[in-house]
Amino acid sequence: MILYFKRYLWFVLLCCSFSVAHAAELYVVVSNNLRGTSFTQGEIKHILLGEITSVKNARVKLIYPSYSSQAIVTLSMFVGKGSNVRDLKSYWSKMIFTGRGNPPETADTDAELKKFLAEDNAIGVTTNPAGMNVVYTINI
Amino acid sequence: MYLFKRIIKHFAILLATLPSVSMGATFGMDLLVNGFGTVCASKSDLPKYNYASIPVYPFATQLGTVNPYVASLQYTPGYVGAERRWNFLPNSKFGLQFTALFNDKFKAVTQLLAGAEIFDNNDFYVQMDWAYVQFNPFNELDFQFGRFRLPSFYYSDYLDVNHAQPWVQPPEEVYFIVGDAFQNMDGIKGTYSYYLNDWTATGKLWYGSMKEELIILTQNINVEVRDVIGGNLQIGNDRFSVGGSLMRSIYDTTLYNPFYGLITATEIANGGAFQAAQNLQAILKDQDVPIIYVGLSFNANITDNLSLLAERASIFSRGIISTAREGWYASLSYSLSKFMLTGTYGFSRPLQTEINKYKAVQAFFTSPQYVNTIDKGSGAGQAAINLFQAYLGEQRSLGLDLRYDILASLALKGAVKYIWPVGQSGYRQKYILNLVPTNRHIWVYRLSFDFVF
Repeated sequence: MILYFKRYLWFVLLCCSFSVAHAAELYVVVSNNLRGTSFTQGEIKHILLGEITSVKNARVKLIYPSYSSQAIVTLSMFVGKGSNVRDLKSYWSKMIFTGRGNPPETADTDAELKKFLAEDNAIGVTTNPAGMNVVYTINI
Repeated sequence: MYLFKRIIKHFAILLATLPSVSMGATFGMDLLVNGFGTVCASKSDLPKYNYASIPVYPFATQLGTVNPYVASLQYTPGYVGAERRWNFLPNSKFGLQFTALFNDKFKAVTQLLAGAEIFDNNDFYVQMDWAYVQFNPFNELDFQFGRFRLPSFYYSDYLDVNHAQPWVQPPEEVYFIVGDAFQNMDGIKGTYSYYLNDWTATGKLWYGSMKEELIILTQNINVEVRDVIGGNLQIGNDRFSVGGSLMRSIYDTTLYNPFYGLITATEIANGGAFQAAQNLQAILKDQDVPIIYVGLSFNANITDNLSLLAERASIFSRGIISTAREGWYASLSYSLSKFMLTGTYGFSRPLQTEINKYKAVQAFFTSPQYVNTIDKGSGAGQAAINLFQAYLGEQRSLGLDLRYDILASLALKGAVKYIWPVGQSGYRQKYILNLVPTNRHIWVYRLSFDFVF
């Protein structure tokens, strides 16, 4: 019995051992026309997943960080897709190729992100929100 | 590989001639272009060639005076595209999707899919899988009008986007239950999502019709499916989800079954109708035949690295070109950085309705009326029975898929699958899915590059 328990414990430890803890802060930033708008955690999550597609009766322009950045891992964990970005990418494939969602734009730098935020109804995430309108802070 | 290059070339020309995103903007809309593709090589340890015994009957009016005979037909056996030799064609594909965003509530989507035409050598197809206008009155609700993929099972509506799946090929036990047919529909679909904290419930309802041209035993057969009505519901959170779907439709075919003439001639030779002939005639009549699909799914993220997906699919139909079958699988996936290992166990078997179809064929071809007046020891009747027995294939399978994400949008996958026939006791020849005869087991190997953009 103890032997089985040890084996089981070993298996569980193996499964968990690679769940890297990412202690990170990520800021949700918006265009000027959305400045001061308050969002709940649930709303932010559904917006970042492309499930809520319009805010203030206009289509949201979603901006993701680069898929090779650490920020995307934090984002993926926040929206419930785990620390492996593969699941987030698969989720977006489903959304795009079933016609349900429009793919987010990708900003590789903060300068690019600011350029996107210059347009109305843009919502993005960044680790460095200096000079941008922060509406929500993600703590993982 | 040559064909795949041709497909890519044609799409490149198509892309080059398309209006750019900025041009779309001049018409007051945004135009998005996305795509996906799979370059898949597959092989199995099935024999390079096999032979099927095909019963050949003389013209109906000559039956009784001219004897039937059995012809031997050479063919290349394959398990869902996996033949003896490594082959790129059957499971490689390329898809392009164009989305025109008119305003915040309306958009139009067209998705084109290209692949090798496996029934006509040296050719390929380009088909429109999706072509619809979508209306979003508000965030939680949308309506699609036009052509779309049927969301019968968990991956059905994006089945060709292999990059979004853990396997090289989705388990045949569920996703090949009706072959490659009946995947698109023309009609209307409504989707409603309800969000409560971390929970999401999504319900879909659809109604419409579809047309399909099937090739059965070298015959082109048009199938019209009407009054397709279905729905599905999926409820879940970040940790797990459960879903179910139910769909009913009615189909008619243009199939003229050569057995009609045979049955009539047998009845005439025996002075009138008899029970076995009437039973077979009733089964062969493919008019106003209902089909019911049922799908169930369960998905759980056990830990951050470990996930489970299990699905069960059933289809019920008394028609001769459709099937009555059920299948299920369970897949356990373990992720480690850019690698993912997935083990899958699957099962598929015919339902009693399918067995009854076979029994009706068997009863007619072993009836003294047929044996004594038509068959006369030619073996044609037994050959016909054997052909229909292929639809009773029952199998279990074990699969192992390894995925490596080279880039976020490009994955390399490899798979090994072991399939063995079960049940079918009392039959000399056993079958697995895809009408493949084997009394032992088969190995299938697959390798693919999957990408999205």
